Amino acid sequence: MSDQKILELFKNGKRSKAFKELYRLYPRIEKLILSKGGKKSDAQDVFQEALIILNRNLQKSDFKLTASFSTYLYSVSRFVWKDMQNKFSTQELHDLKDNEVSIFHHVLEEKKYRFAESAFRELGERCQELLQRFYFKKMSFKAIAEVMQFKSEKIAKNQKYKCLQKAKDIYRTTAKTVQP
Amino acid sequence: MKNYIENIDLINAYLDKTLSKTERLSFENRLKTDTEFKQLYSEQLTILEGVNRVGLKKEINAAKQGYTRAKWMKYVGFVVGVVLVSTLIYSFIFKSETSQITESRNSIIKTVSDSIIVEKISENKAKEIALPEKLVDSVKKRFTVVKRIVETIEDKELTKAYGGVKYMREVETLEDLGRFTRQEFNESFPELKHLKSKRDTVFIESRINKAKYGSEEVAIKNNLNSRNEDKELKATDNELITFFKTVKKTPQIIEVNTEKDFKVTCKEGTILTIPAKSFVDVKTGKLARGKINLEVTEYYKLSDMLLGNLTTKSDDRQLETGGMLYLEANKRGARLKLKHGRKIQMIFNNKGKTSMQLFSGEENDEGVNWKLENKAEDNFLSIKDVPVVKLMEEDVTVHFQSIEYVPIYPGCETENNNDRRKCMSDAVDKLVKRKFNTSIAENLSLNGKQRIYSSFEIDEKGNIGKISVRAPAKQLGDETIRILELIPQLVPGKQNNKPVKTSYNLVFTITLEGETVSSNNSVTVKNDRRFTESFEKRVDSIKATNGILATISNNDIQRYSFSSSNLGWINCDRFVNSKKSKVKFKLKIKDTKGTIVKLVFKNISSILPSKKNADEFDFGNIPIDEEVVVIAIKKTKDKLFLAKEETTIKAKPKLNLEFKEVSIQELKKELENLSDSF
Repeated sequence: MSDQKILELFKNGKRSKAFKELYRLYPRIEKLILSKGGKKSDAQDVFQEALIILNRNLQKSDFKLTASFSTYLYSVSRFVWKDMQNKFSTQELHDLKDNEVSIFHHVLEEKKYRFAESAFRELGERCQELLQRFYFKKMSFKAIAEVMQFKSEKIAKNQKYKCLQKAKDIYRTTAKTVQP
Repeated sequence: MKNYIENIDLINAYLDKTLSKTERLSFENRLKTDTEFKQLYSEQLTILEGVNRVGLKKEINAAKQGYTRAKWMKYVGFVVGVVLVSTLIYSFIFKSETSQITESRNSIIKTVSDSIIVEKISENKAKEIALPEKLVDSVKKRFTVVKRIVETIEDKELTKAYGGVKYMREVETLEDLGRFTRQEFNESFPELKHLKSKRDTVFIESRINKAKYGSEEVAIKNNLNSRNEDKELKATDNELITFFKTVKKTPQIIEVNTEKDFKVTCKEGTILTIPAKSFVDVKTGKLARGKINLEVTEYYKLSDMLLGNLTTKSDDRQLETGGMLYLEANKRGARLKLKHGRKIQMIFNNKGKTSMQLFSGEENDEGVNWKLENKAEDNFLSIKDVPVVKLMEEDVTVHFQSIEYVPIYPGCETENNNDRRKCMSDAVDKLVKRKFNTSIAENLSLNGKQRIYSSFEIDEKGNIGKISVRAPAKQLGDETIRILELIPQLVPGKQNNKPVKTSYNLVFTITLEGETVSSNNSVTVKNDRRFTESFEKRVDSIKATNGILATISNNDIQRYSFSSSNLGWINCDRFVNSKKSKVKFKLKIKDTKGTIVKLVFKNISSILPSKKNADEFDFGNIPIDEEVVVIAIKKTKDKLFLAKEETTIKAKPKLNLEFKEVSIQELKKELENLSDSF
């Protein structure tokens, strides 16, 4: 499938299909990570991260993919891996090219979201489900109340605020302890 | 806290892009000036991204599995293929040796044909064949269970071509039954305990040899979904479905030469006319040339319909049938469909039934649901394209912000979608500002800024409808509806080049004297008048042209002719429009496990299904005083039971169904006897 077609899949909301297509590029990334001393499981984590970053950028209106998916994912993966290893020297950062700077920026941005994710994962299962349904699946409170058997829309709504607040509290404390 | 919630809601609205332009601007302004708010916003954004990451990871993982599976499949498929081909060749040499004895033929030709004869079509339906898992211990380890059905079919055409040497074809189908642990597997397939998994896959073999045994299948219990909670219930229902599959009428196979126009009268009198070169392969899309097989199953008799688990219902409306057909076409086992634009003309064998229409069927759990396809044609010789009535299908609503072709507000005729969008929202804002009569609010003891939320739809004709308003007081809601109804007719929005409904959200605030006190008793006001009116008008116009409800009175036509562009289930029906009042008809039956109940009407050719609800069978609304026969078929383990009871429709029926055990033959006979009164 050509890059153009995969882009269309993203545009038409057929994200899972697009991911499946992009997975064809995985062997190349695996090779890269293995050559840099990582394990297979590392390679999978890195590739997953790269796909998430790609997806986020595609949703931004001002983002334009200048290279092929393959090249883009390759360089993002490289940065993700380096960042995981904390291997950036000041000199390297100094020598970054323009497009590399933006990729580096995306990787750092994603790190923040990773903390949010781990905060979210510390919530109770029900809280997780509720927030997922509302924010990720964009379900209405009415539908959520029905599926999750809340007595009313209002209760579902209140519960959502509480869950959100809890996630934020966790995020704040972890962000403080982890970030210098 | 309240303030906090409001802010969160506002941020959500901003992210969902449901704010009006002015609100959006003030929001963005606030982000620049209010640092606390800005922090709240970015924190909210971060958390949401965190939530999204979890969902995304799930999707990516699924994609990964799909990818690795596909890779694995190639390998498994190759191995399976090699093994199969070699066993096939072996069995074939053996088989043709025996035929060599009975028929004395030149042995050189024999050996040549041996190698030609083995032809394998591998149809791979398996969705999942999974990778081995490394860590899990052997008891908990799941493996994939795949049912492999190898069907041996004699190809008569080619048998003839080879001068009587049997030409056998094997069609292999893989069906994925899901992932099981050893224990689950033993519970589900106790008779197959001995099977061991190879490469984490268990193959359940099933051979069907049509040439030898007719269509008998080596029995394998196929309780696919039995791992669900309602294990037993599902299993028995499935059993019933399998039962219907076994008693189903065997189709008549007609050989069709696709090179010429073709006309045939089937066993029970249906006349089919098929234009030349009308079939294409479902998978490859290639035109089928030469001879193909058309399988026709005709359902005119009540017993056939009941044994086929067929009913006459179109969504919630009752139908009277003039015969049903099931059509399927294949060429050497490969399924065919009608080429786009081609139609089969069919003349149903039904005398004296008027104003019939063509319905096509979709199979679901309860049997087959019928959908209106074409209007009846007065002249059975004419084959023309009749616009299909598509009231339901047009029911698509797309949001104003995301629609492909933004509706045009008078005065906003520009090419660019975004310009049109902006122009329209400006125009609507302006309209509200100019026309909203704020004096209404004066007597309402409301103060300060009051927000009004509204939404409406622009229908496929460009009219405004489905207005819904949430306002602090009903009077304000009514006023908003008055304003929104002032919106002139627009050029409708389009999606895929088809006019669709566009939904539009409008939020605005009115400023009254005094300090803002948010009202706790906001009301929702709805108005759908204009919309319903135009909708009804459309239904009327369709009625007039197509005559759905008006009787087409042409009694001379005793047979009905239709053209259908679909294969599959086809039904020649009319809606039952009884003037009698209707009642809800429900039956209570004690032990409902594995039971289905149907209503057969004595005076009209109609069969209605029921929905099972605990111990109650619900038939929906049915005309009162109608004479019916209640038929209940029940299957428990290996026993069949039948109950039938004549009654007339009334509310709260008291019926005592007595089940008696029957064999399949007896059941068939009982149902055939019923046909006489049909």
